Amino acid sequence: MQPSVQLVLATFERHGVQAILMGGQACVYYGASEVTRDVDVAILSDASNLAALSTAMRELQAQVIAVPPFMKELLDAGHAVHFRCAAPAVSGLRVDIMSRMRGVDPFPVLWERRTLLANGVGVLSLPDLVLAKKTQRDKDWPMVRRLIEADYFAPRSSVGDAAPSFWLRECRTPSLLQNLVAHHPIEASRETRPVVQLAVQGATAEAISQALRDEEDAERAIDAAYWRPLKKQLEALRHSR
Amino acid sequence: MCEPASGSRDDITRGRSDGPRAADTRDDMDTMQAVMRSRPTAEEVAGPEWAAWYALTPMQRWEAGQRLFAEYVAMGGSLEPEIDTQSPFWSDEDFASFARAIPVHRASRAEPGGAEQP
Repeated sequence: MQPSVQLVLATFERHGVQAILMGGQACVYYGASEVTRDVDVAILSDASNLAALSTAMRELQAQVIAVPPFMKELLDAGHAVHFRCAAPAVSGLRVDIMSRMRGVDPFPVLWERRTLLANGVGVLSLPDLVLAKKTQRDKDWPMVRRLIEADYFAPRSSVGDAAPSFWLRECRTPSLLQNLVAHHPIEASRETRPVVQLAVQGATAEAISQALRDEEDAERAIDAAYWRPLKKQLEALRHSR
Repeated sequence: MCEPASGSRDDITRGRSDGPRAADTRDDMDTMQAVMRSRPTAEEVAGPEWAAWYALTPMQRWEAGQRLFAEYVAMGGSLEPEIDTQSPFWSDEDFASFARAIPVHRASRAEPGGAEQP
């Protein structure tokens, strides 16, 4: 593992920080991305874990950059806190911390479902990562598509026996969706997702693509609405500095 | 491929099956064969470079990702955030503070299939 990322995660572990790797690093692990230049981590927002995190961040000589400040109530509200490390082996590395993400379960549930790597690193489970990536940003949607493709073509799915239902629920590749419906007709008939029902009815790839775009647009609108009050709060924090 | 439950394949194709059940089985088998034939490959769906990436195990990808990151940093690649005006965290003002004086030059990196930067 590249030393600086390893050092951040090892420091968290040594100080007993309950943290789960997500974002770009998790996308690399699951096959949707090749490289990322920061570290995104979900943490448990309770007093003792935040104290452990503070100690770990001090050791990494990490400072909060920009807004918001590192405060429990802001993490609980859904904000991300951005740190930049200055310790020698991690100099310049950014670490973004969140404790609550739109559309995914609370941290304790994510913690139970995390993928634990041999090196002790906990990674957000694939289904949770897919949900977390459904944002208003253009760049996240190809990631979601590739997360499912990588799992579909893997010799063994990350979600085990639940794979067909998971793929039907989240697949964003029209040709794969058509194939899944043909291979798993029972699971497909149980799936309430409109685009799956279209595929069951034998819709064309073009019609399925359009339904996927509609689905994406709806999700992006929900994400934008979710962030609207948080962005106002960020603006207020910027102006109060 | 499984053989039908009753009657040989020749019997079925010659119409000498033992009733509708065998005919259904033949239809099912034909359908299954058609589905199997239509199963897309990773290369068809994602292109050869992403297919090669998908073919790695998660740990292999993780290790490769860390190596790429190390190379990126060694080449002087920036650790600053990319300009992402769609991010809810984004502000021009914050970008200025993110991008404070770290003298780096941006390293270019080829993405498989010309995909977007992660």
